[in-house]
Amino acid sequence: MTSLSRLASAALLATIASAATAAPTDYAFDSVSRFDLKKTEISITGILRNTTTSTTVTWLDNGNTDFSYLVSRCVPVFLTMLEKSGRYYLNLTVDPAMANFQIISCGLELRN
Amino acid sequence: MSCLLVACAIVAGCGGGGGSRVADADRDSVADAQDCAPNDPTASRLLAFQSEDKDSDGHFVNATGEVCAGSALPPKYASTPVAGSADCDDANATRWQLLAYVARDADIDGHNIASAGQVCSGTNLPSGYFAVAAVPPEDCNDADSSMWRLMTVWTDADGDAVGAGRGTVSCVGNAAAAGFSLLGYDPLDDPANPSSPGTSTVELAAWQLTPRL
Repeated sequence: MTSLSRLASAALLATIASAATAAPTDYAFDSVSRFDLKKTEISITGILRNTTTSTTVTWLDNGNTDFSYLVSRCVPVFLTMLEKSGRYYLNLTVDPAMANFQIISCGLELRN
Repeated sequence: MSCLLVACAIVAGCGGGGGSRVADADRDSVADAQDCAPNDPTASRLLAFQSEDKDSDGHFVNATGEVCAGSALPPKYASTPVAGSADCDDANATRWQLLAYVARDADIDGHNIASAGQVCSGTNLPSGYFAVAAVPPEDCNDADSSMWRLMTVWTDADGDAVGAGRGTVSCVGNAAAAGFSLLGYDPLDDPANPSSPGTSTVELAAWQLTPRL
């Protein structure tokens, strides 16, 4: 094995290990300005709490209708967040290590 | 006659014939001429010091000089220099040591920011200084106690407490600044329409806010 291929293998292993150990990430949006549903990808754009710049969070949704129940349930949450700007914080948990369904939870919290 | 005058002068000069006497106003057995405090019986001689404690908190700073004292230096002075850390504020008895802090709340509004350093303290850090930081930093304006959180606000043109349009992030407290609102779902934010105030304060169902064909 050449040193170059050893390096490539090490890099691949490191990438796999990194993906396998990636923890779910929590997001709390102060406001939301955009929400996109694509075929296998969903994204939401807005201002995270205690920040000043816009952030887009994207996650995979490779399920069919039967298995996309979580995304289906989250859609009215996202719409409420858009339509009642300032009323709620949008809390999201996304796990990038998941293969097909990366959203773990979605919810609203009164902003006060 | 002349002999009598000389004898009288001698008697008067000797104070009545009681012998020579050294002046000691405070009667501390140190002659006034040698007494650094001739009217204070507790102090009579100059003693050298190398540190002092002006605020009497038990913590000294290096300082040299002499002080009029009795047999020993007064408690505020010491004949040796400070061995460890000197008093960081010898004018304040409640502060004597430097303590590290990692967060501050300068406006004392209960919300702090990350800021590291050392501050002259007593047993504990003084008010407004913290050894543990808030995560994330809470106060977006630590110079104004009425503002501490970053929030999206919306312009409220008609003054009904609900704004509209695209929000902007601003440092606010309990409420947004005049002309803005923490809410941004006013369906009719028209200052020219006198009937518009109040309309948006009524909670509208999602279907009412959603354009329909």
